[in-house]
Amino acid sequence: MIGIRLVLAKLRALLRNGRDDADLAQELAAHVDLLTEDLVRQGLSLQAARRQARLRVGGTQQVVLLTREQRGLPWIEQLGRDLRLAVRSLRRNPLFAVTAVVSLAVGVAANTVGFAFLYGYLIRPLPFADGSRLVSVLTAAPSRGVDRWSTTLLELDQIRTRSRSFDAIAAVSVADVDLTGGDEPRRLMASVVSPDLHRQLGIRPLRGRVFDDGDGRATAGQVVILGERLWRTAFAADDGIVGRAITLDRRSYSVVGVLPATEGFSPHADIWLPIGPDEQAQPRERRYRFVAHLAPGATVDAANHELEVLSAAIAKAYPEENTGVRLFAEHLRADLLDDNREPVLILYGVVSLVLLLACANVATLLVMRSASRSGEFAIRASLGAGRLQIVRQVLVEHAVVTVTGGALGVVAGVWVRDLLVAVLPQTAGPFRFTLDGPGTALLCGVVLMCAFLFGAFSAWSITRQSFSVPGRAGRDGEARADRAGVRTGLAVFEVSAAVLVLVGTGLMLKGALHVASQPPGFDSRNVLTMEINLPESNRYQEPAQAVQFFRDLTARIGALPQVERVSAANPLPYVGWNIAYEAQGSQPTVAGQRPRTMDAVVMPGYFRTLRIPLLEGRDFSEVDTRPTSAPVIVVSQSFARATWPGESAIGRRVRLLRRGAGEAPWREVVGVVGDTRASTFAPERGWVYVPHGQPAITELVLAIRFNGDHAALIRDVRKLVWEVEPALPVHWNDLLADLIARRYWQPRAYSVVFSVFSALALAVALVGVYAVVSFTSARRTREFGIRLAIGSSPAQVWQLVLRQGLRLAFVGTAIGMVAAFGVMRLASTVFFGVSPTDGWVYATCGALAMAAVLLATATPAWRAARIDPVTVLRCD
Amino acid sequence: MPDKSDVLQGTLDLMVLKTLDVMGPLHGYGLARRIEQVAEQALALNQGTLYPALVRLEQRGWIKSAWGVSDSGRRARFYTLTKAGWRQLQAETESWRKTSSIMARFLEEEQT
Repeated sequence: MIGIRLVLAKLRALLRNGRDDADLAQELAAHVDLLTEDLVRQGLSLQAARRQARLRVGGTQQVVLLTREQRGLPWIEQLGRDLRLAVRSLRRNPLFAVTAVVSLAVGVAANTVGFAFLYGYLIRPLPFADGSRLVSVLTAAPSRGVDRWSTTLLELDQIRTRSRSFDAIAAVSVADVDLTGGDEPRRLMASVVSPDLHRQLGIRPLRGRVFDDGDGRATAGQVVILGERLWRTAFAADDGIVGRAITLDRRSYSVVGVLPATEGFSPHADIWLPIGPDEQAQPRERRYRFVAHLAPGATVDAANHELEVLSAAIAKAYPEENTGVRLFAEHLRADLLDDNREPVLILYGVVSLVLLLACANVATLLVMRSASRSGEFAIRASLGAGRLQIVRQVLVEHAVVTVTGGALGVVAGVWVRDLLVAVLPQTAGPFRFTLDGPGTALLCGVVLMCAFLFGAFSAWSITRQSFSVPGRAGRDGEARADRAGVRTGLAVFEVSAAVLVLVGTGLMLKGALHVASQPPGFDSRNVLTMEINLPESNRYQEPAQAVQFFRDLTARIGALPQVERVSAANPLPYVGWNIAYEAQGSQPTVAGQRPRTMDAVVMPGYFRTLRIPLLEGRDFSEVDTRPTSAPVIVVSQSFARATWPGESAIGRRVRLLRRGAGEAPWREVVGVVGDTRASTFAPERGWVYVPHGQPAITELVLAIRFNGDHAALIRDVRKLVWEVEPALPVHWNDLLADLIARRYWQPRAYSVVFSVFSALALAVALVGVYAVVSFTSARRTREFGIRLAIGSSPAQVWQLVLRQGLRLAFVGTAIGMVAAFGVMRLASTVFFGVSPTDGWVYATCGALAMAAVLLATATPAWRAARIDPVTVLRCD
Repeated sequence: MPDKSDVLQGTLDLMVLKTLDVMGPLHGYGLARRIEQVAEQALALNQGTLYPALVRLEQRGWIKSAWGVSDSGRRARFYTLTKAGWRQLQAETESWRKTSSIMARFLEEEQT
């Protein structure tokens, strides 16, 4: 109680210092007057009485000071004085202040950006109920070359009845459904889920309810939950949507709820359907992943151990489906993170290095400044300032720089983060990159710790300085080399860190450029893609009907004036799935393991439409699309070379071993085409193509090479489709080039971000090197003056300084390269196409760093060489 | 010069509170004069040191002050004991008595 009042009273006093002092002075004057009167009454003369009274009261000023100390918070006032002094002294030396503040701001800004992503991806709790105890359950089938594979409902049942590691488990799958009956038919992405999924995750609906256990039962009505996005676009955010019936795949569903766009678990889903009788009827279909909640006491390791035993039991009971299939669990975060974990960690490593560089810069500048201020310190010490006071003064200056730079940095960093979040495609799922309370605290903690560490370092280096030679103030410390080692060490650290970042970025950029410069094998410009998925109705039961539909459709599209050529395929290049095959006349590579390749079903004219060169043999013709025609196949060049090295592939036989497709026919190779890449960032496998009709499939992607405006083309094509099949959704509607760019934005984004940060690191390091070299040479002014006076040529002095810079550059670069080699050997396992031993990159980055350091040295060296010995020597 | 004892830290506070309790509202000079009188010259009170103590006591809410007019017609700041100050005085007096009696007994024992 008293404590609070005391603090309030003191704070109040702090704010109205002047008034209280005046008040007290008046009070003291009254005191002296009263005492004087008494003394006069006792018989003293007025003058003597006044003198006596003053003596007995003590000096007014001292009393005021004493009282002030009592009244206010002396340490705050002290701090205020130190702060004012610090600001004044920094303002006297704006170059130092601005350099220190800006390099720190850059470091902190970079760190803020990196941290926002690190925190969002790796630290911030997932927005689900008890998110840290949620795991994904998947399968792996090493013998089939798949390390992440889907699960089946049969496995779900087995886990539910026999596993003790989980107290809740739900299955999730995706499906395409067609929404009709509205303004236009839409193809939607549905998330097909166990009815208890949303309750398990703690996801709350925006309207209506989430699924309950009754949903999905055979006896229950068909229900659906809409996503907010679809609810707004297709239903105009209708508040009466709950209870309405909508038509999906020609069946009626009743809407029971709307999920918010921020639900986080299935960011791409338009609607949610419960797993129902249709799905239950096919328990062996491998199309799910499971989300499970660890039971109390269970760990991921224990769960994996249990799942291993369970997998063996399931494989024994269902050998056909489950032989070689192993169930495993991993933290939900790890699953959702996908490939982002390592890049984010490396990114944070880089920005931390930038921050360290910035802090080192501030420390270097501060140590150098305090060394050059030894004269000032000596005078202060002789005037009665304690060692502690001087060190405190330096620390307060450091704090001013740190807080200013840090605040600027955080503001700038948040701004850049917002910019990045706005620019990057939204595929973040449950991850959010805004900094909440704990995130901000953590970031500030990191930055402050860094600043404190370097502050302590510079304070330590200052306490080792002697303040005691005021007479030699100006030149004190000139001859001493104690802190020269510290300065050089910091500069070498800066150069080596910058080289590390440079080499790392160089290697990554080269990897990315190498991949990007690989010809994709086809021409993606001016190609519009549209996906057509024929309904599973009787009309397309016969393969010939689907073939006929696509043949007619492409013919009609081809007749449009702006269309140059049209064909269709599934899948397009850059998306694909591999398949096992057997080739006649080729040795099996590994015993028991079939070779695998990418495969696609294509319509005649596909190669010409995408401008994939036909190297040998022929393209498919209309004849090949008939079910009765001889089975044929077209292979890519690398497939042909790998399978029949040194021989022509034409006339050879291949069969594709599609699971569950019955006896696969032997196909005759009729053509060899150029290679196309299956993906930008994965090793190449080679492709094989079979003609549509062998087999006939109902889902194909149109590839339309066109001239002019694609928006108009989309309208025209849709009209053509709907003339034949009015309720058929046509989606994707994307340019092939955009599609590819969107799919592979991540590595490119990382390359750009890393380049920016490494440039920053180099710039910050250069500032540090420049400061060290120019400071050291400025300290040696007198020495240079003497050298010049006794016959050194300016060139020799110039070389002297330059040599110092060169030494820094050389040692720093060497250390940086060794570090880079170590780090990049780890990173090359993460980034495809990065070779850690690319001598060219090392040489370029080394040369760049050396050149930059020499450039930073050139100015001080030039200045040193132009010293006028007479002026310098007279100075003392 | 015989040692005049310096005012122990904390005892001055107690003296001020006690004086205000006995005498009623007083200005700074009145307080100083009264304390010197009671101590009968045994105490070297640098009268200025009274003022930090007064600020301290006021900030703790044990006394309050206001400008007024002295007997001689001068403007002066008058200090008054508050209720909290009175309670503090009782508690301090009690503890001071205990301490001094312990010290007294302790020192007597030493002598015998």
